[in-house]
Amino acid sequence: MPVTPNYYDLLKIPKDAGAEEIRHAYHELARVLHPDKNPRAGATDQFLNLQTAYETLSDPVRRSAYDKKLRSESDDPILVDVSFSRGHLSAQPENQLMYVLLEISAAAKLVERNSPHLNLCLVLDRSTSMHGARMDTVKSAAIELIRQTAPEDVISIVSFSDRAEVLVKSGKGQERHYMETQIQMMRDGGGTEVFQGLEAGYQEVQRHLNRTMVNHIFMITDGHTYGDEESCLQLADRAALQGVRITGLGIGTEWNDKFLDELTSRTGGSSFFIAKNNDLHTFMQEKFDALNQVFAERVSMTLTTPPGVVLNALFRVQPDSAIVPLSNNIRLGSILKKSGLTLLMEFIIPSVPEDVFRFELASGELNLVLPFDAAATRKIPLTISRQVGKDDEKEMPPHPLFQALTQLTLYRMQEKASQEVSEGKVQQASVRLQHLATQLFSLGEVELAQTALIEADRIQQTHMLSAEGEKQIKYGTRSFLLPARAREV
Amino acid sequence: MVICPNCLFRNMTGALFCSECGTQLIRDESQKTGAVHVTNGFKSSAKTGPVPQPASIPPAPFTDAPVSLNILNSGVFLPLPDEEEVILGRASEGQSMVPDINLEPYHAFEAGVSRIHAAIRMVNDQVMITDLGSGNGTRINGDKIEPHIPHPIKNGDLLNLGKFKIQIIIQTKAK
Repeated sequence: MPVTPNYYDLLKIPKDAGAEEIRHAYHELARVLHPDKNPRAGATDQFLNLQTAYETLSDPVRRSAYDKKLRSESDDPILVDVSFSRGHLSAQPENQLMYVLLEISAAAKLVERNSPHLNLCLVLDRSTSMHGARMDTVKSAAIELIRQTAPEDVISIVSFSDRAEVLVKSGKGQERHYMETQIQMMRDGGGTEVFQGLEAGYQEVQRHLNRTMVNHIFMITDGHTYGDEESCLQLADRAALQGVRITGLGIGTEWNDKFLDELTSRTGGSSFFIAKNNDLHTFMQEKFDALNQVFAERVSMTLTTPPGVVLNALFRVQPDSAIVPLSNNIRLGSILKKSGLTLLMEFIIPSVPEDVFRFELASGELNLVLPFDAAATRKIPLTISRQVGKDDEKEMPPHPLFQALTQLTLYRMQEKASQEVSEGKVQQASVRLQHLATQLFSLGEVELAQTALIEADRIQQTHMLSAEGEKQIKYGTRSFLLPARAREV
Repeated sequence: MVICPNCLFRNMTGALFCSECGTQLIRDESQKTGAVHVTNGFKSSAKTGPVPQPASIPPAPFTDAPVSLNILNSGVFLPLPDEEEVILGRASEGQSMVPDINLEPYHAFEAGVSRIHAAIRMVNDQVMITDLGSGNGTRINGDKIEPHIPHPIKNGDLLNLGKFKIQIIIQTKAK
């Protein structure tokens, strides 16, 4: 850490302080520290430091150079950048919204560190519905993935229907030929009981549980599980406490997306919709690559808001965009080396008084484990506050924030429409999907927009969404703006 | 409070998108052309007066028109004259036939709109669109339509004239 406090600390102001705040803080301190009033030794130096701090921060060009320098000199392994949708909160009695983008990234000098090894279990559905091409695709995707693992990675494979079999016990450096044969021998048959597979998989991962590794379960399923949802969720909670994350890949349209979302998100993981068999390879590869890019694991956040302020929604933009369920200890998954972890938060703020400079939205901390230095859980304090005042002109919010919010808006429209369908509000849902289509068309997402229009019509006729259309729109709206997708095109 | 120009929903201060219909409530002022304001019919009467913010203008003056065009990407609503047939296109210099609705102020040329692109007709309360053999074609909700054949359109449909995007707004008359 630098010996001298940084200019922000010196002036006792937050990193996003505005010109007015900086001037105010400077005058306050200058009054106290002025050499004329302050004869004690060192006061002059202190005053001169304050002078430099003020001159640097009050000049936008010098300030941005200084911010860059601070960043490069920082010894923190994790950097947190906060940006806001508006320069100021308005002093008004009515509720208002503020969007906050948290970009959490790995320090540049640590990015080149070796990736942690994996402790990975593949949990594969082999129920009757997997028969045929679907089963073959899963097998070949699993084999492809096994071939890419390193000898130091701990691998296990479990298959399940209404019971589970451990095909490959967890261990390092197992013979590939053996693992591949075990996968090839899988035969379809039986019902779908997710809990069976999940529990067997969890036990395998647990045998080699280690904070220096990425402990993970990949589950592929194509069906509804019946009656064991509650035990699955409890298992997910246990897994989360142990630092085991679950990724769920749902094939076809018959699986329960709400359940799989809930299950995986409790561990900081996410679920994905595989519409066509061929997409499975791509998805598994993408998720596997992400596991090998992990910089920090077990990332969680505690956040408390002052009375009246509500954290209304939390959207993980990257990696694996998803609405993150809110709790006392919000599980966020991992921070990737290159792309970090990006979160969008929506705050509803009640009455803001006129006579305050700054209003606090939330405070708390991020907790995480760095696998390369796993002894301690790192804690990063977070305070989110904003100046109160008037915005000079309608300024566009920072682009990444705006883009994330576009995505969140569309995802929520989809969510509302499907809520309305389930409540029998057919007309409203149909209109909402038409609105959604309009927005998607204007963003150039023609295919997704057409799906939305087809579903809007279908609702009018059948009062239902099709399982396929609903999943396509849900998973489509939550991921279409991702950079990963842009790279593919 | 921010009132949505599209659906009039009252959003909280600080909203960037309408929470009802998803319409973007904030525009990039730096990218906006003056022409949009002029043709919007809301040019401030005072010469030096501030340009009104589009986000706060409800489309109330337009609500009488049975058919309106929502010019996407510009946030402008164009009410169509209450006539049997309205030709959409763009006017250019030295052109003998001028379209009823000139889309040129919204960068129609760049988007590939023909001078005489399509016609919107009212036939027994059914709104139809006909592509008039335009260079880049017309699409309804992404599907290309045959030129010179009238196609029915309904409220909320998305039209593409070339790359030019329009949403069609049809107000059903109270009887």
